[in-house]
Amino acid sequence: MRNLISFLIKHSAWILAIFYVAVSVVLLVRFNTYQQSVFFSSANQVSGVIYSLSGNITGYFGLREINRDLQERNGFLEMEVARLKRELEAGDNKALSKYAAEDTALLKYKFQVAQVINNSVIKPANYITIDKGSDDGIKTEMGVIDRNGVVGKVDVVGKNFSRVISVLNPKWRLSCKVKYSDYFGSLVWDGKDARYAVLEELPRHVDFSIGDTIITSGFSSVFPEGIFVGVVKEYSKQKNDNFYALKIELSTDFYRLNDVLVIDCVEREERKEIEEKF
Amino acid sequence: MSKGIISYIVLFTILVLLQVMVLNNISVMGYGIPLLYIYFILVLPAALSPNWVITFGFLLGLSVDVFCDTPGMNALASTVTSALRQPMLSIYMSREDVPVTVPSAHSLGMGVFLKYALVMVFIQNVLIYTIEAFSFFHYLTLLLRIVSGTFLSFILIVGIESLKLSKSEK
Repeated sequence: MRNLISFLIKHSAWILAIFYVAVSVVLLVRFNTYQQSVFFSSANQVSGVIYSLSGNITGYFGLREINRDLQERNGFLEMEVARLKRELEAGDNKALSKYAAEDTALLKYKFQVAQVINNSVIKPANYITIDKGSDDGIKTEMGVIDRNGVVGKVDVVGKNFSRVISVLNPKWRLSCKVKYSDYFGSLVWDGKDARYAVLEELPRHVDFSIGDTIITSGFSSVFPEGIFVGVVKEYSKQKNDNFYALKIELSTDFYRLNDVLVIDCVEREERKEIEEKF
Repeated sequence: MSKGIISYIVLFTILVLLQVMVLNNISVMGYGIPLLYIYFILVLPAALSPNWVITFGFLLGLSVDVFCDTPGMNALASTVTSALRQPMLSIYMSREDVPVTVPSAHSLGMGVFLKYALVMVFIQNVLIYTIEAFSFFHYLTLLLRIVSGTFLSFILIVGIESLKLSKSEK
């Protein structure tokens, strides 16, 4: 017994090291599961406050580019308004009813503006922290977009801050389709470059060409249909030859995220219930 | 002594904040990032019990982890690095006759301290990027990350140490 105790004391440092390593490994492994505590993520109160302080300062960088992007977007929307006005004035009832239907489809979704206070693009699995939490009505599984396109999906919600799993994270796949076609594939990041991602599982008979727009499919309750994702940069056949793998140039500039929109699907609960039941 | 403890607490806080707010956004071509926070482990008093060194290493890694959304990764790496500190230090200190209180370029000599720092930083970087590679493996990327990360961390430590050295010479 005395030998045992003296052995323990003599090697206490190594035993302690092994204990800490074990704790770290438990944290590492547990973190990959879906349920995880807010405490060990950047959505906790302390890191949230510190990140929002630094976000207040760094938020001013790149305002010129953001301004330019918004101008462009504004111009695009104004063109759209002008076009719609023309169609309204033409008095085409068919066209009118078409837009009415689309409007009610959009009513299913609500938007909320949040600010990115922490963001990374160079890790193998990237996360974003935003300054809105459960107090502002944020829930998990809500979609996040910015002025240019898809950003990610909320996965951990704290009281005042939440963590968003970025498109630049191989743990998440996003259902997308080529605009004007109904075939869909899933978008996943290959961990190399923050400007590109890969659209996999797209059937081979789908017609597309380089430069085509990729949008969300709307098959999950995270995003409405038709949110910009990116454009096709190049393509290759996948291993089994029946599917294409497309290299997508993402429309979102992940190097310069600032203000984002969190999308709330009003019918999410009902939809989830049905999808899980059957 | 209490003054020493306070200055170490301040160093701990500054290094963690610097790491998560500034250094995590710096990278060479999107590969390695400088892991300066390990500097805290390097300069803990040489006479401090290994138990404390390892505990501080673990807490340091865990604090960085909470900010980076990587629970366990930095904690695991810095625990192992700080456990290896004592053997490393004894290798380089055995040549010295004068007992060293705090490892630094001033007390150990620039050459010896840099060797010690390089080995420790290299261990830390190898561990961090190998753990990362479990979720995403790419042979060349892993190598580039380790080399560039070690390089950046080392450069920063050399900078800090030469600043301290020129200050103490004045």
